[in-house]
Amino acid sequence: MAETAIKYDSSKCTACKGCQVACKQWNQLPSPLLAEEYEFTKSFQSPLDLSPNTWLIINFSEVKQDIGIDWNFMRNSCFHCTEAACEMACPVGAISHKDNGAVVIDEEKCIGCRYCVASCPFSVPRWDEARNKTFKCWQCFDRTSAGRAPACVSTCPTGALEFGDRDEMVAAAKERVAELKAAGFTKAELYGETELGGLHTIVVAHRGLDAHGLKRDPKIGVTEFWQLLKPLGGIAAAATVGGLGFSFLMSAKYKRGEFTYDEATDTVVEKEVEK
Amino acid sequence: MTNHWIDFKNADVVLAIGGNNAENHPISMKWVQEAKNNGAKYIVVDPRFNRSAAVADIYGPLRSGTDIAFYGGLYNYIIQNKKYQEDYVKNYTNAPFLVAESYSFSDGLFSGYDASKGKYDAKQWAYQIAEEVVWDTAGAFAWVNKPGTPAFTPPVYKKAKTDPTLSDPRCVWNLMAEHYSRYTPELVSSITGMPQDRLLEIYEAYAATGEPGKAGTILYAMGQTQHTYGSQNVRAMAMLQMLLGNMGIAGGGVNALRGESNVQGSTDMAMLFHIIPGYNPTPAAATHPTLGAYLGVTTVPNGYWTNRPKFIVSYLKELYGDYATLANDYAYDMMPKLNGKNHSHISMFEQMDTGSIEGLFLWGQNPAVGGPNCSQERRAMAKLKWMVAVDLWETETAIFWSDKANVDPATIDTEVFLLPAACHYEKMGEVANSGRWIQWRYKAVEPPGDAKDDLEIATEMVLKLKDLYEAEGGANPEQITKLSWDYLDADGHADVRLVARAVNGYTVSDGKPVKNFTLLGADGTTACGNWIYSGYYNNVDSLEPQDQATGARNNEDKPLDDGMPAIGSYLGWSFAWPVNRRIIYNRASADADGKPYNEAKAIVKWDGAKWLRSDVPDFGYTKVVDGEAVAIPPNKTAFMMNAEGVSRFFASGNADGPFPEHYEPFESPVDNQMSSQNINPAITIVESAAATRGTPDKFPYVMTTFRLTEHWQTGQLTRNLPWLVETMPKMFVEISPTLADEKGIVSGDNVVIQNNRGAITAYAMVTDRLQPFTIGGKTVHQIAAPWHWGYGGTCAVGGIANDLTPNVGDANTMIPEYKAFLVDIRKQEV
Amino acid sequence: MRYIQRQSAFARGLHWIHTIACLSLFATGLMLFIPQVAGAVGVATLNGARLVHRVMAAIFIGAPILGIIINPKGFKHFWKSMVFKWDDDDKEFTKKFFPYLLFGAKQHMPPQREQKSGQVVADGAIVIFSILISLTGIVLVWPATFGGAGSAMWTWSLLLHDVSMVLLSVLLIAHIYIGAGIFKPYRGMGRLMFGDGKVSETDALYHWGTWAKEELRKGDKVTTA
Repeated sequence: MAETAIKYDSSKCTACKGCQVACKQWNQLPSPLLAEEYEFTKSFQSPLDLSPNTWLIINFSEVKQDIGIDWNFMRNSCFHCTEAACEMACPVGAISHKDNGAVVIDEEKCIGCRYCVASCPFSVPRWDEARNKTFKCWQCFDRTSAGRAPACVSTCPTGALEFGDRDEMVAAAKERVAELKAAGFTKAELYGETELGGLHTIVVAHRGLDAHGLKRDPKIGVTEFWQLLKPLGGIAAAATVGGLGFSFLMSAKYKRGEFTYDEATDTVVEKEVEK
Repeated sequence: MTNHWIDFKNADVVLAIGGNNAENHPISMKWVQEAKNNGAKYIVVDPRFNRSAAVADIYGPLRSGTDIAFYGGLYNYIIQNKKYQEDYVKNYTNAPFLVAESYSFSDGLFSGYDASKGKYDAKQWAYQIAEEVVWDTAGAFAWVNKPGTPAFTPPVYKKAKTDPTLSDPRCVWNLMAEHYSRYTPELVSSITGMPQDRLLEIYEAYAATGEPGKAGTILYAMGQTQHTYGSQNVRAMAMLQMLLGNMGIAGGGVNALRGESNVQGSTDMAMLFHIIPGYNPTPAAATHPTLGAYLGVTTVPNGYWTNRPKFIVSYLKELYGDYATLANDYAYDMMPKLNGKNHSHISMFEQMDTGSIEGLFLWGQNPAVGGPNCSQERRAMAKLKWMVAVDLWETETAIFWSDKANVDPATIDTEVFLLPAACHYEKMGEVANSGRWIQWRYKAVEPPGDAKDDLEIATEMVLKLKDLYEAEGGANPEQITKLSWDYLDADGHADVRLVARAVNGYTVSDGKPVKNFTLLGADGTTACGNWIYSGYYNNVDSLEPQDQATGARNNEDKPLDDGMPAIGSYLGWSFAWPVNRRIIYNRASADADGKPYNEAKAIVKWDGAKWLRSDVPDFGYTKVVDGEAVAIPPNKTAFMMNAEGVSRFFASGNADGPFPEHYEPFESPVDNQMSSQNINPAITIVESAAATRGTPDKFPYVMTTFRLTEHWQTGQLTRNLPWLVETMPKMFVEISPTLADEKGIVSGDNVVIQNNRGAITAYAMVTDRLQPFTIGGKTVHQIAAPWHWGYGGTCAVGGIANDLTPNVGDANTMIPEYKAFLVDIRKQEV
Repeated sequence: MRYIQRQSAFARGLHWIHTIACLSLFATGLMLFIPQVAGAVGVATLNGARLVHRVMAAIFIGAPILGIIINPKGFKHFWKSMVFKWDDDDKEFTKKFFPYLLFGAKQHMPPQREQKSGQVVADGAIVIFSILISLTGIVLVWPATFGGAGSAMWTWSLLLHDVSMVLLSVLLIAHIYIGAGIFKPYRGMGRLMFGDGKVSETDALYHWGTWAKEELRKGDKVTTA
């Protein structure tokens, strides 16, 4: 299977949240039933953050202008990195790449350790206490493997979300960035082409990465070193055992007499002993 | 809509005003985006910076209720700068028509005003008459002599004098130019609060569509209509489109984004008191005592509406079947007649309050949340003897008597029934979208529990009433007993397909569907439930929806004639009334000689011998001579639904003046800067509204209501669905940081919003999306709240915004002024 | 032959309790550390292992603390033995440590106090990394209390927990090598922990010369068997 990607174009997004709801519907992710369980978020962004039962939200941010505002939207969900920190961190091999590049958690294997949560530079995976498992967007692999677009993409009314061959998405995104720049969005930027080995969510951020809250030059961070620790630990242990084995061999001929101490004279006497 | 959703993609400029299409009609953005991809400008004018504004090329803030000032200034700009489409204005509008001397305008009042009644005499706004044309009953109107046709006096067409050079000072054009010369950019900016440079930027961008071949479309919704001058707002948009030659062309038109999936269908089917199906007037007892009188008075003397008698007689034949005969005036007496009183929503609730209405049937309506001044409406409902609510959910209205509604149930005697209804996935039928496309929908699942299809509920009731009236008699039993209800299948259940065929119309003798309304007769040989739908369900060989035009699903964008462009009409997909026409008034897309203004997006084109079409033409383009179709060469009748054959800048059909004029809302923080008439002088103010009118000294802030993408109407379909509740869980009010500072309010505070009609609480959302306006040099704050919340359900409850809205209506339609009123706001004491 | 009582019954008991906890923690922790193992054993075993890890962690942390509370004198004694001045003997010990370990047959060490210089370093490292692994472990068990699983605190804890584990493992291996007497110069020292906690006069004089002389002079911990 060729690599595929979701393309999100913020300049075409009206933040209708159709994607957010379609995600919940397709993946059957429940929302609270009682009014008391909800909070006022002070924003059109609701819920404010991802959760085990919310794998995609639209982020809203406002920047005041002379007349009105710049209302910057961003699709907040898994980027499906090629160099996926979560996959590296997962101690049980529950997180893996599908052939098309989707990074998927195998719920059967997940033990809820939250190492992926700790590792993800985008804070995407979310752990559920009740089920003791971690959840995130899986790019609707059930749909994409059957030749359909992910639920979020198929519900998008404006074409802000598209899904297809990754190379084509990147090419289209580049073209769009150029178009936007020509149209006066001088800060327009492409995101996801090279970040973390290439993301499988490609973003056209028409007011620039910073305005849309995208992490510039994301790093896997300590997870990389942490993963390095595994072979290093093994080597250290092996070296120790080896060194001590050498020590054992070298000390094979070790011999000493029997010491006694004479308190009166404060002398130690060594007496040869026969084996 | 004059055009349709897909057609937005053909626009060069899209103006969204008084509507928030990105949020409330998300699919519209598919086509607006396509237009933008092709280089179109998208302009959003709204009091709030909304999600449409977020993707707009230009945003202009406008104080609620000042649209006419905005349009007036725009006309003035267009006329002053000669940006109008001159060829179009001269040929397809009444600009050259001469107006009688009785018309005048002074200080906000048109001539003919009777201050004691608060009404105008519209006869003073007439044309100068050139000649009186009587119907040729031997020729074109020979059908009036057909046996079976009811006798009526054919109306006389008073043909107006015109001055094609537009130089006569009494021609519409000059009167209009004079009227709007008062709307200077300075004054408009001072009234609307839109900074003048932004105002002019928008004017320039939109006026650019006056160039022949360019298209500008207007998308609007309740921000235009829900005002005491809402009808004039809509007229104002039409006039703008006429000035710029944007009406009847691809990518143009005046496009009402209907707020509910089938609200277009509901108006087509006349779910209103003043019309009967197909936009015919409801008979009135005083002026239309007989069918002849009705036909004589209401039939339009010229243009396509001259056929009204055919539609009316066919309608009566469908209602009363064999009982309707020439001898009994086709059962015209059975029709309920207007009694001279207004029966709109506001008035109905006034009448419940005074006790003259005792019972109420609510069909998918939730006035306890959706009505204007709705706490008053809830109090009025408490005076009813009985109420039946047919709905999917237990609405706030259905429990208006409960402690959840903050009333003591012991004090209310109304007997309330709730009938569970099937939702659209649970029944078969049709839905007419804003673009007039009547699309058939199939049942996907059975309704749950005892829930029933509305048609089934209605049928059960009709049949039971028939039995009761047969058995027990009563007042005018024939109204019910003689009602033809020929929609039952073999099992005695209602069959919606039979209803559809009856709506389409059929020949009485053999019951075969008619091809379209051109075949309807006034002689009792045809029956038709709604003439404008005729043609949508006309397969003579099959009753199955998939074999009908409405069920057609050909997803190919193909013009009617080869050599014409594909412009997104998709004629093989469903059926658009009338006669599958996607863009109405489309004759105006080509000049007087039939040459398209825009060849690339041509709708009709005269090739010298015949008309080439990409859509169904909206004019007489062929006639049958000796059994053969012969092309009719171009003429200038582009608006055949008007007697004049042209569109109207000056119109005498409105209650509040022939030109739109700016007035302040019923409740406004400022005086009218255009004249000393503060409010629309022709509106009717019901007693309870008069009693609660607020003044700016007590209630200094302008409030407007709005909808959110995440919720729908009174919230029944969305507040009961946690997935949607989660995306917008709480009732809130948007406040500018400036006002918030003044009031010591921060985001997340509970605030009380209050006026003489009520007080509600909501969370404060302090945001730069709202900014204070400078009106006449004075700072005016505007706040805004959604109206989706109520006390019903468990998932999302909150303050009812409509507890605050005034129950005062438009001068023509009585649509309530939901969109601009006064309140005070304060932080809630804990 | 005389013997010195070097490890009390209390110390030995605590040592073995801690040993069990430590080895269980190591075994269960390793399951998560090595993905191949985790993949092989399955979710149920892993979750069982995580439970064991937590229980053992409680013992690992709790036992020494309890020991200090029950036997503050012993702790004081231990603490004193750990804190000392770095003198010439220590310098010489350090110089000779690796030659000693690798060429034990030829290399001999200067006389030592109760805790050898090397012991102090090794035990000190064990103590420090045990505290670190405990603290980071606490963070890992209750992420919500420490800013969530995605917080820097938690992420760093995860890393330091594992770094501590690797270092402790190395020290543990060395400790077993020496303590259990696999290293020839320590042959017979197993009695200190596996037996009654006594060390023979000859071994004591060889390994902890300074201390042995002191004890033999005092005589209160000296027995003849």
